[in-house]
Amino acid sequence: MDAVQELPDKELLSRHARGDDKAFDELVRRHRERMWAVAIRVLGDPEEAADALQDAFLSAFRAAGRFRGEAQVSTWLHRIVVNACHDRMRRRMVRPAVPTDDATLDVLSNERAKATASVPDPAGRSDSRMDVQAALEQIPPEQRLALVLVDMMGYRVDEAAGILEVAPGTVKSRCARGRARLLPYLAHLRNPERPRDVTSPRGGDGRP
Amino acid sequence: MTSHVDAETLALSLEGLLDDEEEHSVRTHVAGCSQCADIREALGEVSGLLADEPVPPLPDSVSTRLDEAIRAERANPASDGGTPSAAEGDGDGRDGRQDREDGPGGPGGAVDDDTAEELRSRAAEVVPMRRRGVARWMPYIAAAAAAVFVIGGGAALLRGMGDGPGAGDTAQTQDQAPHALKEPAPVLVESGTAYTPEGLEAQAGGVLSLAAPELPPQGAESDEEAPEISALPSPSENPSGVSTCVEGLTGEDERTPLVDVATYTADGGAAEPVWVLYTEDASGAYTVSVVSPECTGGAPADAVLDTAAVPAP
Repeated sequence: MDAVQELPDKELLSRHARGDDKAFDELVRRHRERMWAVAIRVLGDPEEAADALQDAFLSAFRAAGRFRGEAQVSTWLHRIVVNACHDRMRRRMVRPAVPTDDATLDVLSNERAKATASVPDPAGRSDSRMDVQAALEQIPPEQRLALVLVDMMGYRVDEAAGILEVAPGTVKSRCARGRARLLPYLAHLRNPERPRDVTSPRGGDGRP
Repeated sequence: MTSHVDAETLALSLEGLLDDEEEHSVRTHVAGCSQCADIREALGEVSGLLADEPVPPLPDSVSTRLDEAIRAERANPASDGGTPSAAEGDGDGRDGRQDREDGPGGPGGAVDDDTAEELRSRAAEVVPMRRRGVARWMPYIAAAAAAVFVIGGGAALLRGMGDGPGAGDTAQTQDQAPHALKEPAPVLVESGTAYTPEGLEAQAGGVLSLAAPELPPQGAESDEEAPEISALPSPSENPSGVSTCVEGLTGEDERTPLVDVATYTADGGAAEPVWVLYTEDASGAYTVSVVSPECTGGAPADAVLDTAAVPAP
């Protein structure tokens, strides 16, 4: 047992590929918190995030044999989670177009409404939390992803670039554009006493 | 120099992504403009606000569910090719990306160059998708169905579908095959192009030449999901209502095989989200229509912001 916990990620992955049951469990234990953090911030909704996380770990479980060891296991896992989030977002947009009127969707949306509505916190802390999350959902997914990785999770630009498989310059410009888009939504958090008009001098890219 | 600097340019400046000339003019302006200086300061604080955001902890129920899903997978492995996208992996599709320039966009048209860079990089991102093939939904649906079967009751309960795994199973499968239309649905792409009135014809020509080789031929009928274009990214979110809009704007002898989810900046206006419809007439000539998403509201023709003839690809 102890041995497994001390092994590096790559060794765990190759043991898993060779059929060692304990190895993958240890990988999950090691990485699930961070993977969760990515998924919940990108998707916003806990149920969606849980689905994405499960998709991702199952994909990793199945694909371990194809891991070539050029990347860090952690980068690889992040990439898988990011892709799983993309798939979720894509499906989320497709779903409402389907006229499934059965109770399932009602139940789901009720659950979701409850989940969002039932967290008021006297300290006002969750207010800000919801505001930031809601603001994040207003910006394009690519920008949101870059900001989640770089600004929220604190990864270096080159790490985020490895995860997203784009050039570091692209990560930077996505972050920059995302911050500019977020600004109008976040202005009140930063300086409650200051009026909103500072954010958008010529009505530029601030969206309603 | 007298006009204010928009937030995006200020943000790019903070990241060091502007060329020298533009950076200089931004600095000169900001030095004498408290309004823009305020915005720049506020932009600098956005990262901090995001970083301070507490991480929502991983719920125990989710950990348990993960463990169960993996145990089930171990006991009864899903067929190969399940959830293909996620695992396409390590190193794949990186070729040709390594040598891409990491630097900022070029001079002056930082936005344009940057957009081009973005477009290239996103085209590159999509390379692995091609391997998934046109019929990528099929194994996916199979895997999803298998997963629901395997973890059946537990997952259904977690989703609040307590009425029984059977019902949930059916609903899910249907959800995932939404476009069983006789007419092939338009292929949706998100090329990243920022369309402009004067550039429209050339921009549309560029996008069409990337997409054309993979568009279904005229007269094709298909029940399949629209194919993906390997040279262009799919939209990360499929906007709803596109098909209504396409139907409203496509004439009898025409078809609209391609829609680009993009932005359009009218002269002197701000960039706004648009759908760019690529419509082909019977002779094979293409017209692009830049359409505001408002066209789902019932009067598609009124939502057309711009049109242009596109040279055949």
